[in-house]
Amino acid sequence: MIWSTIVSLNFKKLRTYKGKALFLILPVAMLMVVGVTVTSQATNLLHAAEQRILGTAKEAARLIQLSPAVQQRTTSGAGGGQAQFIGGFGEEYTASDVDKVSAIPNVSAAELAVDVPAGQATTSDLQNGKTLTLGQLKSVGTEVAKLYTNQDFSYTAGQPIPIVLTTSSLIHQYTDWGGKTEVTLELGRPGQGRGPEQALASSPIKFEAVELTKDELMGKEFTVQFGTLETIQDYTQEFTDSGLKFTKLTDAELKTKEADRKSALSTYWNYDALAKPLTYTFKVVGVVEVEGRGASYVPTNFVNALMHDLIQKQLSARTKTALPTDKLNSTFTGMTYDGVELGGGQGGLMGGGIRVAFGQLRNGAQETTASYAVPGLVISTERETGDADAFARRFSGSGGTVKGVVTDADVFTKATVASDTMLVQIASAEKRAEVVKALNNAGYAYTDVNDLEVYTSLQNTLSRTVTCVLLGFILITALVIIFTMGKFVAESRKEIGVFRALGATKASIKQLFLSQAVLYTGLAYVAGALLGIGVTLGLAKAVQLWFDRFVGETVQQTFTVVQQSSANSFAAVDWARFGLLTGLLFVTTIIVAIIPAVRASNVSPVQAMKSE
Amino acid sequence: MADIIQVHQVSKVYQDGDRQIKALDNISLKVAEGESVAIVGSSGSGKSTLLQLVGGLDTPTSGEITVGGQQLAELSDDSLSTFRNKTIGFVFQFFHLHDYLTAQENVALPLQLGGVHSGEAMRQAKVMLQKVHLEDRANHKPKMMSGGEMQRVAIARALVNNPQVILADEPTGNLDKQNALSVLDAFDEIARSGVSVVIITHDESIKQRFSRVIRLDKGALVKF
Repeated sequence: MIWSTIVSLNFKKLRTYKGKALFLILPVAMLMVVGVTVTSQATNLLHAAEQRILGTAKEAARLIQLSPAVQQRTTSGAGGGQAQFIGGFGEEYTASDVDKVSAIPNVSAAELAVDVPAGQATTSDLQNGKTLTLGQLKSVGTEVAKLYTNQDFSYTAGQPIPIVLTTSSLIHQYTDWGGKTEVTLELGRPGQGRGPEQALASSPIKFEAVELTKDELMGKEFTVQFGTLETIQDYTQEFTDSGLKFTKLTDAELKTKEADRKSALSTYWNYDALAKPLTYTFKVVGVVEVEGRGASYVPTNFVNALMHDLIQKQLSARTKTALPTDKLNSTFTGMTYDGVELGGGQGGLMGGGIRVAFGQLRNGAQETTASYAVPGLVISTERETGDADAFARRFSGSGGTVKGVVTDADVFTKATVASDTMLVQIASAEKRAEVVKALNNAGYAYTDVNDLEVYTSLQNTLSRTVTCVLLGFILITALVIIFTMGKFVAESRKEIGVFRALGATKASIKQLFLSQAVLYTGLAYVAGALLGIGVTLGLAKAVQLWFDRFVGETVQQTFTVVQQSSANSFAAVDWARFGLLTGLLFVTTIIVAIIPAVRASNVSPVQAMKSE
Repeated sequence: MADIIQVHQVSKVYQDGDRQIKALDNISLKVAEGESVAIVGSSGSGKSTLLQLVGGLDTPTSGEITVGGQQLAELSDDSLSTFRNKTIGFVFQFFHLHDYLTAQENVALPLQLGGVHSGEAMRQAKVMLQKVHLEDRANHKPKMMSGGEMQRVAIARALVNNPQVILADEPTGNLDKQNALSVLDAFDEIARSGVSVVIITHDESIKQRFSRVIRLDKGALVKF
């Protein structure tokens, strides 16, 4: 019997026995729908999990943020008001530490996340026109930046500057006197049961948490102003027996203060040129949502350019009047450079006031000496030797003898910069444990917290699900075909007998039933595949919502999910698995249909003459 | 005339558990070309078994059967299929037409089973339907036809490969008198064309239409 006859006979049979055929076609089509949907969505989930959860976790696992012993301390200052610092104090890392850590096997990159000592950085573009202060701003190289963003992190002059924004680094500062003009802040003493939080709550200087979500921030462009003169404080503060007393200035007092500052600065600088801020446009390429301490990251070469521009602006604004050295680090404050290290200027939180406050603490003086922070001013000092107080140096700049003003605008780039944060990139997440051990052996204490195993187990679960679905698919398809084709053969014994009596060979009968199985499976395949694709696409949104909730409830509690999810991630058909299902379906069909086909071919032609 | 069928000392024993059932007991007979033979006998007399053995549907326990000069025992299963396809035309009591095929397609089936392409098979089938006066029923499915029509389609199917022998198992057993007569007329015509016809029948009244009647009783030939 030729193939065209076999196929034609099966089609004619199908047309007459549609109902019977559905016993095979429907379950196989449903299996195909389930197969395509589950494998596709499992793959989508796997991809999403790999990219968003595992990818991030894996990427996060490649990052070690090395900091000296982390403490929490509350400090107050006449200039910067009340500021909460959560950070490391004491040792700082320098280039030599970077070299040492870089030499550790499996460390692919190590760099200092250097604080940008640009002074006040503010933006009004992010939250309803409120002026937000960009807290800690750190520089980071393109290599380590890959751990925070999958977007381009290079700085090109004239283009928006990429920034990895840490939401907790955005601060909205305002004052609330509650109708009073005097507020005393009771500083907690041991055993009095008043912690820094309670003390801060009663302060007229308020810091408001900025509530911006990742979705709102990603891709957003905004401008930041650097190097402006800080706002004149509308209050004074003094230590009393009961604590720190804040007194609100009258408008007349405020105006006098402004005039005093302008007068003091105008002798040595063109006031307007000095006060004019540098404005840069940034584009958010990554968002880190963490509680507590957080710095935002900008490219290292941008920071070099920014610091150059800032110092140059100050230098260009200088009048011809010589600046006496005794006024430096007393009346006029700024960064200090001792020929090696650049000190002072604590990121966005810095301000002349902080330095003055610590100066007061050191001197024991209560009266505030008029002191003005000059943006971009770098004071040249003698380098101190011996065990210098790194903490004080960091905030106050070098304590060495003042020599004059640094006139090299590239001093930031040339200085050996130090940082309390070293970012260490590990070659692969698997090597993390080894690197952590090596870091500890090298004297960099680091305790690891790594939940990667949790996500590996999630990945395994999803992989197992797909494997189970595929195995189930094969098994159920096989059973459906064996049972339905077996039933067809059992019901066709008379027909087979007649075929044999009329001259059909055993091989022809086998072909007839095999092709019947393939034909019905083929129809089921087409229907199931189309429906499966439809269901897969239709479920995309629901799966995405589930996945987002899952991520929100689990992963984001531990890791910062840097990668962005897309609705399209779940509207994809896994064509590789689709092909696999297609192959499995037909191979399974042919293999298992051989059993009923052989049984059919063994039906004796005598059946044709058996009574009805 | 030469013998188209030679049955020589054929016995057929079926095993039913521990019991042996002798369906045919040492039967010998010959059928000449163009001869029409009626095999009569009561139920269980072995007449269907004889027809199955002659048609190559089953093999004898002992003895030899030669049809058209071909000793059936020498044929492989595939060769036996080809032999049935080319040499024998079967007509069954319940017609055994495939209800998913039209009359013409049913008639074309033996040709297609033998490897003839659809177009040619359908053409020949049409000619054959004309011979049984059913050309107007060519596109009808069996369910739309009467019993007599169905049996005439079955006869056309049996004849389509120009077989040397027609073996018919109770061909009128399921027909009314009128249809039975028309079917018998068809067999007469076949025999006249030189094709040997062997019919099993219960109907003693039709035996005079055949050139010879063979009676079987308990697996053995009865002389009369």
